[in-house]
Amino acid sequence: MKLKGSSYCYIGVMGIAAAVIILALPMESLKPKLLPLILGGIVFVLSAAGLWRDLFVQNNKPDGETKKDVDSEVADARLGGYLAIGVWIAGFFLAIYLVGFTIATLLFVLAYIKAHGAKWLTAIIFTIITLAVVYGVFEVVLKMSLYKGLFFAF
Amino acid sequence: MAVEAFLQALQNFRDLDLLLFMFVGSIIGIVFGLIPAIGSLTAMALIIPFTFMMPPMNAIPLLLALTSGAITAGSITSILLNIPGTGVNVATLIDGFPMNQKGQAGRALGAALVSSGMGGVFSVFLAFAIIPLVLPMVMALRSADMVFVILLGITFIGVLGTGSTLKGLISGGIGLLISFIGYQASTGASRFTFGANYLYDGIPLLPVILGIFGLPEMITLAAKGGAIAKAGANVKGVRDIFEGGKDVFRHFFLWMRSTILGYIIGIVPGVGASVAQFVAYGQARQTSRHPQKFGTGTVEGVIAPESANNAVQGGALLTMLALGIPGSPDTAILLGALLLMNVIPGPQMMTAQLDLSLTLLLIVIGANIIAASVCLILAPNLAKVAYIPGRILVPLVIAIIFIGAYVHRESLNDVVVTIAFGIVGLAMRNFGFSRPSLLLGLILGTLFEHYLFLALAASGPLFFVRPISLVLIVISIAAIFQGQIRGLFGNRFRRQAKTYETKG
Repeated sequence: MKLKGSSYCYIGVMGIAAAVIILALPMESLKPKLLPLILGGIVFVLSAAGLWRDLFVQNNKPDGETKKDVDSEVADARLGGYLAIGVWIAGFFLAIYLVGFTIATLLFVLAYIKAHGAKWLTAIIFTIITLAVVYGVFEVVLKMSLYKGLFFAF
Repeated sequence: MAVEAFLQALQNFRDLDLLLFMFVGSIIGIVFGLIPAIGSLTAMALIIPFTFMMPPMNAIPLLLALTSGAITAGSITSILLNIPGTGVNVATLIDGFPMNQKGQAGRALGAALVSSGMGGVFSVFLAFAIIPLVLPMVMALRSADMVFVILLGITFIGVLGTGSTLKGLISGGIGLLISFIGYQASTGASRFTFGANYLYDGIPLLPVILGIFGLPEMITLAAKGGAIAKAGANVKGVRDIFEGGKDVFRHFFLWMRSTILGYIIGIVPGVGASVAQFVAYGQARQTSRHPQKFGTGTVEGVIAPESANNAVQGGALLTMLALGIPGSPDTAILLGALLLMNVIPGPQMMTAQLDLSLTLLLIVIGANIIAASVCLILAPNLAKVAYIPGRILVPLVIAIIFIGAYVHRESLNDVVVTIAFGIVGLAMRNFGFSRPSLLLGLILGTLFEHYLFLALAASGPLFFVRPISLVLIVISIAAIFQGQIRGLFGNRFRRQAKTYETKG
């Protein structure tokens, strides 16, 4: 009995469905809790069935094309690769929070392209293009105000 | 009424702004369609934030044309680089790339682009023809029936897609559960908000769309590393591009069959072009006089899937407009975009707003003509877009996703929701769960609850005892157990065949 990637997903969904049921039960009126209880129950049972199938039923048949197409990509993409891009995304969000969208975008695009082996000129050109799109379209054309960042909020 | 609406639609279609946005949408769609890591779903999710400030009659043509452009252009990389530009061009490479290897790249491109463009246009004429039949059916729907129409849509998009039935249903269920977050309209009760004001209005739609469709593609591309297409792929000349166009007319009945097939599959909620392309390819092979040539580079193997994948659009759009249930994953995102613009698809789109529906169908015709023409002229050069390295594409697209998530309500919390749903979308993508089902559940959950309580109030607990509702329930159950039903009939036929063999 070995847990697969999808098994963890089923367990996660079962947890969510159970939480929905537990949170819905104490609601006073029937109307707001009726559908969450019914659907939470259905989703819980379906996920349990999926987990049971994952653990106890030998199924060599892939889940259609999605499985086939995606499996090769998952194999190509190493866990380290996912962690690395996760760190980049977290860093980008932190930068947005601190210095706002414009500067964070500049730093993120320039650093990402350069760190992945591009020449400085390429990195600078694409950073300028991105900033032009961000500033030109959102701030100038659509007249939207982008978040300025914690450092520039005062 | 229908004639007046059609004349009004023609009048709307003459608007210069509309034509301009349709053209821009086609071009953007072509560019996105050529970049295999993006595809039409991600492209639509990325473009929605740019459309907030536009009037609906500019934004909708842009989004509709984008889908047509992406599907049409996706065949170019399938044929020239052996990489499908979008998920709906996979069947095209089975014969398209071998044709390229045989030095017939131009012919394959010509056949693909002409059949795709013509398929998209003809499907709209089919949609026009079917509207008089759809109108009385839509008018007959009551609240009780709408409950089951919504359930049918969620069931179909989960079950009949390309993934597993169980995972499809679970995905739709999660979407419905997420839709219950926030206050309930009929009672005002707050559900699953944990006291957070942010959650009181529910989970916002746009960050979810950007998160589950946009981020996972970029995360995967970044984690894999390298370029989407390797340099040195076999890009040949296109002298015989017009020969390929003529091939479509030489195999006119194959084109017609595949187009009608694609259109019918488009009408069925949730199935979409990724299924239509393989069904059309299969029927082309079965009905061919030389099925053994399929897979080795025959033009029929290019014409069939390309006609069908674009013909899905007309059928899918009609279903979405008439019932508010998307006929394909692309129209699921389009439905989300329309709701963000306060354009509510549903039965009224076939009655009071019929002219708007017809205008949208006319836009599909225009967009297909533009996309096919641009691709025919620029095909060999366009394929070079696929060489964009991932290291450049990833930060650009992620930056646009984050900004797009923020600008709708100017809230950083929306960016956090986008990241959270990006992780959810990545898990769903990698483990075969249906992302369009989740989105549909989220979009339709509130409506589902609304119609359910209306039906309960009007007819009591037995509200479903109506002919239309019962038919819809039977179809939903049949869709869920389609595998078992097929197996049952298959076994029966096999047993009968065995009996005949024994008797014989």
